[in-house]
Amino acid sequence: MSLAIQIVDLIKAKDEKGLELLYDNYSKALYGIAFRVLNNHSYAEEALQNSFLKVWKNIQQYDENKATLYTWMSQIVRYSSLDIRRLKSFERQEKTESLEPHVNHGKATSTSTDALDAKKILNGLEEKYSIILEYLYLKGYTQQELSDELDIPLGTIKTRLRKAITIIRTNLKDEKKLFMGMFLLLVLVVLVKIFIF
Amino acid sequence: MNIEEIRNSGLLESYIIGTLTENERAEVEKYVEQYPELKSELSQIERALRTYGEIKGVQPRKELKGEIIKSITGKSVDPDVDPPKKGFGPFFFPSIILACLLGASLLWGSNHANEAEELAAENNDLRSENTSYQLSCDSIADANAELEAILAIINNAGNRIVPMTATGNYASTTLYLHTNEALRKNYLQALVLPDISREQAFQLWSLKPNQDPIPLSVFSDSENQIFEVDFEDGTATYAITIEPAGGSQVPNLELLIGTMGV
Repeated sequence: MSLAIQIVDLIKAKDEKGLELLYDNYSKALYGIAFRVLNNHSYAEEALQNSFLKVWKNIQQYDENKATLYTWMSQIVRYSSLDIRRLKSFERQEKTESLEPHVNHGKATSTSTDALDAKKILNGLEEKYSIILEYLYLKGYTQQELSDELDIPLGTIKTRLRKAITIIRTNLKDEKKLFMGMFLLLVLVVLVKIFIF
Repeated sequence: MNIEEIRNSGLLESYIIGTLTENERAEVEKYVEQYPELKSELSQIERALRTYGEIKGVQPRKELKGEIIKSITGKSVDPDVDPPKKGFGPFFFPSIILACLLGASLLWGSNHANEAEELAAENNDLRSENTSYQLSCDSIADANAELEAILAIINNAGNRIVPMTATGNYASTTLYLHTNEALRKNYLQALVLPDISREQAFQLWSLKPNQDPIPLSVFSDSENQIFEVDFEDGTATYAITIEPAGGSQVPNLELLIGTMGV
């Protein structure tokens, strides 16, 4: 049974362990989305809490055939964050200011990114591509909003988004191969040592 | 749209990000039904974006977990409980060790299987060698029996040993004829024979008065051996010539080695 299925089953059974697992495994990435949309820790915490409450109440709406649990959660967090931003009457200017630095505190909670080198995964992701991901995926802009914001044609936004994801996909494949290669090498070394000694 | 147009449209990425309208989402889901290979595409986009999200993630403060869960369920949780890790679960490292042990066992088993195979092969070789030795022994026993028979014949009281009188060109040739008229057996004991080519052979002839030479046994490589040759009744003299390999019907008198008068 996959972790996501386990989490969904627990939450459906109204077992708080499901929420714990959900938090332990996804909170860092989800909080990152909320913080980038809101640029405020207090609001980001509120958005994350609202999202968890929505998941707790509406877990029956989750369709594993349409999206992974993470993707479903990330969309909920993004919408919750955008709702809060609207409620707090965020100004357009604040959006532009929040463009500047990428926030990346602490160690990743995900084993997949612990094991794989983040720098290698983002290797070749030039600023013109990463900014598209930052705005669309993390800050919740629509493609049209970003086109207007950056004064770039909508078609270019789409092309760069696709290119950005392709770069990460390619790097992930390469990194996975390297990781598996090193793992197999390690196992081989252990086997050889056991065999010799 | 065909599948390439769908891939290039940006719809799939927007579907995963969640920025499509309901109608657009329904459209993408229709495309996925139409082209099932798009599921894999969506899955890869999803994985790339999730990885990006994790890399760019922000660690919330430690107490937030307990606060959120308590606000939803009313129950307190221990914030210091170590989160279960995805991928490398509690059984990961034991599994690695087990896998290593299993691998080592397989290697050990494979090695010993190879050893057993080698031993079996060696056993087969030894069996073959033994069979070969047995055949050699049989062959030697046969040879011994043959030699004993020859010795019995040679030592027979009725035997006569006739040395060959070599011709001038083959003076060094040393050869004896052991003949037994009662048994009608002839044996040649060749001690020294002249060198011949591969295309040549020695041939024994029977010479009778007023008759053409009668071709008898053909032999070669017979130096230091005693071997049986044809016996011809009424022979006055046996002669040995060098002939083409396989023998001739008429002797080549130019290559006459010698004669043995009986």
